[in-house]
Amino acid sequence: MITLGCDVGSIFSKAVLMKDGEILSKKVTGTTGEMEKDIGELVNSMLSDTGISQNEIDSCVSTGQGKDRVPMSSKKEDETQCIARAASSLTPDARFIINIGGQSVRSILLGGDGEIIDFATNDKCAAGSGRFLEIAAKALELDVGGVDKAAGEAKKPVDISSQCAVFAESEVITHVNEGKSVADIMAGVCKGVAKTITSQARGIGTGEAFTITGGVGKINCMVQLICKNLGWDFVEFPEDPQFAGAIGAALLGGEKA
Amino acid sequence: MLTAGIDIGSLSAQAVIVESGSIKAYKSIRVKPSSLESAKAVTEAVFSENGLTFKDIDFCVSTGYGRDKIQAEGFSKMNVSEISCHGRGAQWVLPDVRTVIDVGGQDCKVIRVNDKGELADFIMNDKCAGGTGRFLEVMCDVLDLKLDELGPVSLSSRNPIKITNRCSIYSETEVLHYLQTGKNKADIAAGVNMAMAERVNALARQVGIEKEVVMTGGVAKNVGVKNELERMLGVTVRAPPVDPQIIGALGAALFAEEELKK
Repeated sequence: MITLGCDVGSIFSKAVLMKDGEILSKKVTGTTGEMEKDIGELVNSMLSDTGISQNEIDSCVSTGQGKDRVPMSSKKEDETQCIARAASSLTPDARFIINIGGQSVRSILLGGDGEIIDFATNDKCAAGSGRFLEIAAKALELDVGGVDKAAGEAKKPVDISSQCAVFAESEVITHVNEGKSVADIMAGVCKGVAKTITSQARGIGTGEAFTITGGVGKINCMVQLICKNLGWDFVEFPEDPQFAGAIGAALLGGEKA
Repeated sequence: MLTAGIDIGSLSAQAVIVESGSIKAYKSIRVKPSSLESAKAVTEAVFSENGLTFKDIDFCVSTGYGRDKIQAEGFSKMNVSEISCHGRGAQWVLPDVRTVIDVGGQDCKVIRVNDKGELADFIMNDKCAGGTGRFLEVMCDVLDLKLDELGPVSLSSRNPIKITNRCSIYSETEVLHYLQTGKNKADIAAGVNMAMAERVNALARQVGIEKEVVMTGGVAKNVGVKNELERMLGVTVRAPPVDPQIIGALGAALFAEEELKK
């Protein structure tokens, strides 16, 4: 069975093409105002890469903020469900998931069968989100890919006291004006964001083995900080963590088609 | 008898000079990198414009960000919290005032005072940029409007567009989307002012409103926010008879005068 999972996030749109639970192709693009077009292009390029035609696709499950904007979607699923589904397949040892996307932070507690027992979401405020990191990185003239390298060179991370991204941006600029190094400021920002994320996780988790998904899961220093803060056993997500939602969507499509 | 009050905000700094119970001079500037530099710049400006020097001032009180540092450096003889200064200043310019809504660049305070201008109760938000002047600044950047244009532009709106996000960052994306889809700028501006007033209203209701109500701080200059807030609170929101941005510094200068009389 061939299934497609589309995860239209606030910053990136992801698509995964699967055959009997195996990933055939996965692609990501920046989300624009024209989400229908973004996803259409992603899917077309995956189809031409794999030589599969559109009518061979048995099901298409869409998720993410823009899940209503995927024309070929046969079913819409909640992000939390999709992420939980992906983790229960790919990281069966993890009973807890921290998903950090562009515009949301989620903590999900799973039961022994991968069912969701409890979860917490912040998608109302940029604190702890990828956007927060992006804004700080931009103020430091770094791209998101440069965050890890910069933070890795830090000697004495600064203290960022604001949880609000707008106020934190001002703090970053103040530190720049005071002559602090980009590395020390970026590391301080990461520390602050990690603290926000782990305080949400502690609200529902009690030391379960956990995995990290979502785009921010690709930033090494963030993963390390979260692991250090929590001290729980970490199970690495074996695929690109940014695709967790899309993988889960494709897996759910396989079950319910 | 000359006293001075210095109020360093997050975006602007003010100095007020009071001479025997009346305002002699005042000045507002954009802040410098440090509170101390802002204090120096704003006092130098107000002194030079009025042929004064620091020696002419009998007592100076500092308030706002870094008020203690300013005192430690010898710029002021005493420092008082901005909450007390706003209460004192507002009640002095409008004696019937019992509620002061001060919306500054990086915070929002709702202050209740008694008939002597003494603090009765207050509530403050300085954790989230939503409901502060920074929210309006971020929105103006996206709308390509100057901060002082936001109020007047919004008045021509017939169908305000509701801003659904509370977070300034997410609202920025939302407004950008409205612009890209060809929505009317006045309607978006009106929506922005409504969102702003909604946040202030929610804060004000927590501490309770007692008449008369005055609005101070830079955001008080936005007529759109003021009108919306009046509608939401169901009371007249009065404007101070002086520049609403100088109320904190004025309160500080009045505390200085009281100190001299002790």
